[in-house]
Amino acid sequence: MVVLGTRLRRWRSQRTSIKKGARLGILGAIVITTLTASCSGSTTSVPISFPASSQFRSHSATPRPSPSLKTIQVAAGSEDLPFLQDPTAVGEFKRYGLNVEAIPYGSGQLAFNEPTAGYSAFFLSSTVFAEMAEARLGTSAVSEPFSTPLVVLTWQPLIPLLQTLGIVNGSGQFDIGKYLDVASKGVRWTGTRGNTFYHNSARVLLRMTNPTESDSGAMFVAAASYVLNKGNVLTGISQVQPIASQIANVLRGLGELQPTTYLLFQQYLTEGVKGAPLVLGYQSEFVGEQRSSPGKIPRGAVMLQLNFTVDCIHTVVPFNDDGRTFGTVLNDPVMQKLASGKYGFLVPGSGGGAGNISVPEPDIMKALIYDATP
Amino acid sequence: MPLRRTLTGLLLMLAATSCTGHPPLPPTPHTSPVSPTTSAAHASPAPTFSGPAYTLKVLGSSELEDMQPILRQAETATGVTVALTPIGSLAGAKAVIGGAAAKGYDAVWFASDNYIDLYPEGLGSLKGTTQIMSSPVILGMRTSVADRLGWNRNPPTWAEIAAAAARNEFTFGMTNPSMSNSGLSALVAVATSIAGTGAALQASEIAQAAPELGGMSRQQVLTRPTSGYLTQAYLNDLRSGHAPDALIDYESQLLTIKAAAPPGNPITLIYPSDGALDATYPLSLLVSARPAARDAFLRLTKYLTTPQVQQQIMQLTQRRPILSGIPLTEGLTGHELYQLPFPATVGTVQYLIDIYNGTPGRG
Repeated sequence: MVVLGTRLRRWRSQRTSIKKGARLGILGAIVITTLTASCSGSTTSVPISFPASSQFRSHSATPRPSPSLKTIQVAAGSEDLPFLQDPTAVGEFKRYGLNVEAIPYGSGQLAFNEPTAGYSAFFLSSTVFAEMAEARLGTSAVSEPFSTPLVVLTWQPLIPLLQTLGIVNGSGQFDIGKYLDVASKGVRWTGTRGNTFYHNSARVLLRMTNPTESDSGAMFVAAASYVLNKGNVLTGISQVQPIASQIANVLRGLGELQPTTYLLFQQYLTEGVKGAPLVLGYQSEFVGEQRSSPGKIPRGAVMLQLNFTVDCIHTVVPFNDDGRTFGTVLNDPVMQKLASGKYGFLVPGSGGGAGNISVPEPDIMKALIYDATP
Repeated sequence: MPLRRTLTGLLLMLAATSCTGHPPLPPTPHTSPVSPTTSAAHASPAPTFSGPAYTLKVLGSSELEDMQPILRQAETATGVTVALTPIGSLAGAKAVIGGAAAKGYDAVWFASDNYIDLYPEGLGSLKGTTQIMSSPVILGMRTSVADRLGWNRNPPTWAEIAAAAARNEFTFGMTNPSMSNSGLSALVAVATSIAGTGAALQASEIAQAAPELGGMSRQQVLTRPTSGYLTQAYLNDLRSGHAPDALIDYESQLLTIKAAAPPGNPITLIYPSDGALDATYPLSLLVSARPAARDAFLRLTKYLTTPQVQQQIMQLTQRRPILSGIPLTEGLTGHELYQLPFPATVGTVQYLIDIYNGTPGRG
């Protein structure tokens, strides 16, 4: 299995290498068991591994606790809100003198458009968008406290159909290449061999966010471009258009795309197997929901790893000292424990694992996501 | 302090709605512990929402007036008073896109942001978007007519609904699709169903739907600019015995009508077999809002999305919780729907509206 990461800084030093990594099965650090639908007797287990601590940026010293309290605003990737609003996180920020008001955004909105006025920091969901924000705003990131891979969320009763279509491979992973093939052919759920129970006449399409507005959509497009380019990262602007047009043909069927991942995850949880059969998300959303809100993950919900791992490193881009403090507090042990233990993020030092990096350079990436979005 | 209503006429109209008798609110979050059997049962300590008093000026959908008891309760818990100016979702969206909303409001709360999000300047005007509750756009029909058409036993597709209307088999009411989300959502559902591709509607597919859209349009005998007004008008017609055969509206509004319908003229809800479009009532801060408004907005949205308040909203308004893990009320159970997509371009949406209104090329 290939690991497709998003860490440009590391990638720049080793961009030509995309290893056939063994991300799953190396560590066996934890195992997630999906809830099983009442109509099914089987259970799906999803192993999760952690990246090596060396993959994360080294952190500056933790600031001293402060007795006074200052309210700051942070524009954050929408899926980080439950973590940032957790009472433990709120208490830890207060210990360092901060009352953090987190405003949800798509990371693409922060990278390309959002002014910094009123904010102490942006907290983006990947380094690629963080780099774009840094370039636009003339500032530097301060912290990469945790990461999470892209996953596909579906439902246990649909797994046999997805296996029939080849979208779920023999390892139980979501096969990006096969999905693009099936989606571009316009295959419907009702036209899938063996389907006698799911009367959804819609095409088999993975619901995802707008790649120009949200990290998860953008990273999926990066992974799709890698697959369509026969396992090679796009390195020239001339390569973009033919690949992007193939992706756009698939995305066109989805219609209007949501601007943030969190909105999508809410739809997955509330619309169920009928309304949201196949949804792109972050591993941390699913795991975090299982751990922090028992009972909120519906029965039959299943998380699938992608056959190409896309690891999204959450990155703090500060605009003042308070923003820098915010970034460094995220690295303190209490916050790291909360992030990994309750919200399912991968943190430095939580295990070894593969972590090769491969997304296009920012200028190519930007052209790719805009050309691929209908 | 009661919710400030800015349209006196609407106040008078909705007084009648309140007489239909909402169920009493269940206990509030700050007075009652969470019950694991009735909510998502967060393990974390109960959050606090209190803060400085602030009146949040909100431009929102007219049917949100039914949230008044919840918003009064929110005012006690958060210090945030919601001053709601009711408007049709699309008319409100156009006020955001054109910049007018930024001059008089802190936040917007429409049935859907589907239309706003088609415009970069619209999406760029909003932040902190938080979905509060959901309700699909479906069909409510006088039970005698539903029996005649057989739709209470075998739900039709949207294409079949349009075809039957075009054959003069029933009359109906619907909001103006150029002003209101529910009307537009129904048009999108019909055209998508007729196109039959199993994917989002494209502009090139609308022409084939034009005959049925035109035929359907001729059977529309009741319209209003907003869902709130439409619901009240239909209820009045039903009580006077002159109601159209059917009403296309949000499930929540139709359940309200069903509960208030005269015994001799019952209403049946028809859930189209090929799905529907949901309104998810996103509450968003305008980027032009002052810091005090931002603080108030965050407290309000956090409060409205707690499991306990989500349950209260469902019981009061018949809208579905945006959080999972909350058991649905009897009227909502067993009616999960496939989701139909919204078109990706302004041109597709405008062409669709123009075709329905019989004014192609004007928009």
